[in-house]
Amino acid sequence: MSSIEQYIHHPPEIQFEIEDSSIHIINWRRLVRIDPILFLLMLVLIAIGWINMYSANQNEDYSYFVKHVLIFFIGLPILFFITMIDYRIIIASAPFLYALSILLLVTVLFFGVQAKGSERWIPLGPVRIQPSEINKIIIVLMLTWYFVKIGENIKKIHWYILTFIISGIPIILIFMQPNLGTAMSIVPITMIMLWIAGCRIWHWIVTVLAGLILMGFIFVEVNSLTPEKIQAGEHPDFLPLKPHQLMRIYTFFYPEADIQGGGWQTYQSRITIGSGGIYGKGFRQGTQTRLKYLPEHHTDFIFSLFAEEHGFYKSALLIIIYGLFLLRCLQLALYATELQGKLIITGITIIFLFHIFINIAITMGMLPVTGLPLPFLSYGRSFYLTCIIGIGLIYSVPREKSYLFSG
Amino acid sequence: MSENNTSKNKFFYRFILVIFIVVSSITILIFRLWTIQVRDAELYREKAENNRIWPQRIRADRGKIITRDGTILADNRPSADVVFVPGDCPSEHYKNVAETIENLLNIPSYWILEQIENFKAEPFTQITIKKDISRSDWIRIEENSFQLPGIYVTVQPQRRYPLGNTAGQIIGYINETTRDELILYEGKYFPGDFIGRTGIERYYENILKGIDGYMTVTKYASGRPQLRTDRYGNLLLVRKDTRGHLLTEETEQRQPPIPGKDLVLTLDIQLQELCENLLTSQQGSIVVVEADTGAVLAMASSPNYDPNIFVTKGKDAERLELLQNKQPNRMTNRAISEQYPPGSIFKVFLAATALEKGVINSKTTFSCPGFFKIGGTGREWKCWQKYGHGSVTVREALAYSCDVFFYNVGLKLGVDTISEYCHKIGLGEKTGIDLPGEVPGLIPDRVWKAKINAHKPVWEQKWYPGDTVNLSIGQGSCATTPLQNAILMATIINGGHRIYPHLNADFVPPRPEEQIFSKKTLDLVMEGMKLCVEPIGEARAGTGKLAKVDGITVIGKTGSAQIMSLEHHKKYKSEEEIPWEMKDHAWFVAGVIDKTPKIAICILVEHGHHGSSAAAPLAQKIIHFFYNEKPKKDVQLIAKEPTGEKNY
Repeated sequence: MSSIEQYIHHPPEIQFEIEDSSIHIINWRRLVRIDPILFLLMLVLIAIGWINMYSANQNEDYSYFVKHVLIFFIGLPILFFITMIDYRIIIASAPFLYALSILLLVTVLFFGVQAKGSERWIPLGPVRIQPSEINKIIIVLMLTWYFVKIGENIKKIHWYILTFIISGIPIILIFMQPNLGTAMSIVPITMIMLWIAGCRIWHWIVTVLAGLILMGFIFVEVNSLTPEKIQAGEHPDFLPLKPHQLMRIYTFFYPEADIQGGGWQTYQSRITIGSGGIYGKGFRQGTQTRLKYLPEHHTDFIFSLFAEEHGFYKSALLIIIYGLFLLRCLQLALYATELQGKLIITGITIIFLFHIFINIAITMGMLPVTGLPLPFLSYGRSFYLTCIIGIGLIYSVPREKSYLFSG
Repeated sequence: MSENNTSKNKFFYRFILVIFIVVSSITILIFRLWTIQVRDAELYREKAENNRIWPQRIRADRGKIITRDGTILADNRPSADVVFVPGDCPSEHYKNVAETIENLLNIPSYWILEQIENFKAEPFTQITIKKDISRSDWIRIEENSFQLPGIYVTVQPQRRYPLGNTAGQIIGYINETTRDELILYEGKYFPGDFIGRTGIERYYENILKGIDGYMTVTKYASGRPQLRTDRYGNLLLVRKDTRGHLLTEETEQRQPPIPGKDLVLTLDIQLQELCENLLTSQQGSIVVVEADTGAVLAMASSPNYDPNIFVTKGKDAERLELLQNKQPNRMTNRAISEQYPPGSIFKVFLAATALEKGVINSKTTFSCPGFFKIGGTGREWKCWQKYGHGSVTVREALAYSCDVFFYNVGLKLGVDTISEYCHKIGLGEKTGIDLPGEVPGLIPDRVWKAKINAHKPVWEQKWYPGDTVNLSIGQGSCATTPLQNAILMATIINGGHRIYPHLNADFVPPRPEEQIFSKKTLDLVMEGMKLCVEPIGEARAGTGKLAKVDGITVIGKTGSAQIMSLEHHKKYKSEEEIPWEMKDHAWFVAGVIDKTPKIAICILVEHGHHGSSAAAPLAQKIIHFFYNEKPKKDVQLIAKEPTGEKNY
């Protein structure tokens, strides 16, 4: 059979998007996939981030603000670049990226520079890389690659369990840094991606219940401790945490135990938010921030600063904008043409959700202080780039064109 | 296409969970935000304000204590401290500054450099280099200020008692509050505050203290705001806190302090000085009271002390010595805080009471054989005149201090009447003078004896006529303070009115309620007391003749309060051999009735042995000074205008 005959008898499927037929790995025409609504929401958040970072900088020292603005302009080309790449290539390279990230995490364990007792950096000349941040994206890619690879086998228990080994290795490595917050952020990513990948419901429910029981167990164990015991280095056998981390968990349950340390931070953060009231104290008028009562006001507690200066209405609006941003991401996932696209977008959405929820909950004293940044608002260039790369990946996924407000 | 749709639906169901998680997360966050920012906003706003606001107390200046003629007894002088702020000085100049300070103030430069090193974390801390520098040092620092960056002089008021020992016990002193007091007066006194300890400083603490003001400063989370003063002592906020944050005062919220009121005392400072001089090298007390008003003109107590010891730095040894309660206690105001048996002075009271009650009259006579017996008992009470005074009337009995006459009078009056009148005049109870530490003294009566002997057999609790006899000449358990006796004297000469002694010139004495003694009574008593001092007609002068002042009618009464029984004294051959501490206390009360203002004087010389020889001459000097010398001196003083150095 000639090729023409073959073409006549078996006509090619109609492609939803012409670009996909392109054999080019990098194609600028994929830029049309940039979703205008998501892009607009992102720009709004970035603008709020700039305004807020300007307010966070005091005493005529705008170095943080300048760096915060600059990283966006560094990130924007990266976003466009990632959008232009064929996402199947990215997924295909996931095992290599995964191996590389494991290598980096091991390297950082031995050669990393420790900052503030929990985060670790690799100093590379003038730049410092925080491998645990970009690792979140790589975990999403790796799990996507894995789920696509095994297909329906996910319903089998041993393939199901293998998922936890894939995500467990970086969790343990990050945990050993020790960076409790980032390590924990991989858990919901794994669970939600398993769910979307189509695992058996009862597998999933049993895992979630087991996790909840484990958390309850930790609570009971921590409950039996006292601050003195924790400072003396005592910890539950299965929970080899550093005293300051255990102390953070402890002060979450008993905030009055450590009014000067972690308890002080949440306490002052609550005062900062609460004293803003309905209408706020006005732009650059927040007394708690200006007088340095609010700790880490440009990184982990930036939301408190926003809430203090802008009041309840605008703070609630900010949270709603975050909500719309997340829902739009999920909508894009729903209309992705392939399973791997859905998985990537959902995974990245969960990264965003986890950071937004945990960070804001911490500032409002609902969770122990773990040091997670707020996307687009917190100062922290590794995480900022991670967010922008994540959005780039979301855009690079091909979608059906029949959804609401499609561009 | 249909296949595609079903797969989409399948995923849609799975996505519902994720959408649910997102929506519920957002809802939880907004709800929590609402509880904090809307429901509990007031609470958190208050907490934020408490964080931010640093109310700094501005200590009110303590009021001065002055006398009626304007003499300053207590005031505040500027005390200058040198402080160094490392942050205001370039670090390369540290060494130069330290060396300059070493030259000027003789403070080792290495110590200063050490201090700078200690405060490295908070470079804008004010390091106190030297406290209370002298005026010349101060001037030298100001002169060299161009090469002393970061060196400042701050000024605080420091209490000063310009007259030193004079009236020291009356003025009292101030001291830093103790921890117990800080708890007791929480919110009123703060660490570093001074509080009056004794005397006027303590009694009028509330008036002298003033009301503190407040300034409001917005404070940073780290770093402490600090205060300094300009060279006039006005409090300023230092622009940078200890960590160098710029601070501003919220001036519209400033509450200026209300300085303490100046207190004017009734004391006549010249008379006070004279009285204290008269008692030099003796133990005792002199009280001079204006008879009509109760204003205390002089209240001397010897030995005395200089209250400056307590407010001046570097007098710890003297302070310790004073507080060790060595005998004789220099801090005790003997005029009010010590009690002595009044001895024969009590006879003045007894005579007046008996005449008032009609128990005796001017013609009543009792025979004095030199001793006295109560029928049925074996005990014998002696008169100080061994062979007796013969038959005496009340006039002579007062003039010559006949004991037997008053034994009889006392028995006739009975203890109940005596204690009733004591209460009316104010003997044996607190006079209510505006000084702390007053003791009531004691006039024994039936109730007191029963109470004090409650644990003893019944017959010991009973009041016997013998007790009345003892009381009649101011012996036994009877005890009064010099001030009480001065009041007794004032009551005699002011027409029989109770007086309320006071030191505060603003004190308005209560209206005289009732006339305790009638004019007739008092004329008789005063005649007897006049005879005590000077001869009248044929009658020779009595025991107080040394108190006579030419041209002034002085009435008086001597007293010798036994502290040992007469038998004890008999062991010694002559009076000189009796050890000092066993000698009687010498009393003399005196009054001037024909001059204005009428003054009543009470003199006590501890172990002076005889009122007539030890105490009466002092009265003479006081009266002479007050009516003859002082008016001349006052004229001279007016001619010499006092230098008007502005007080701090």
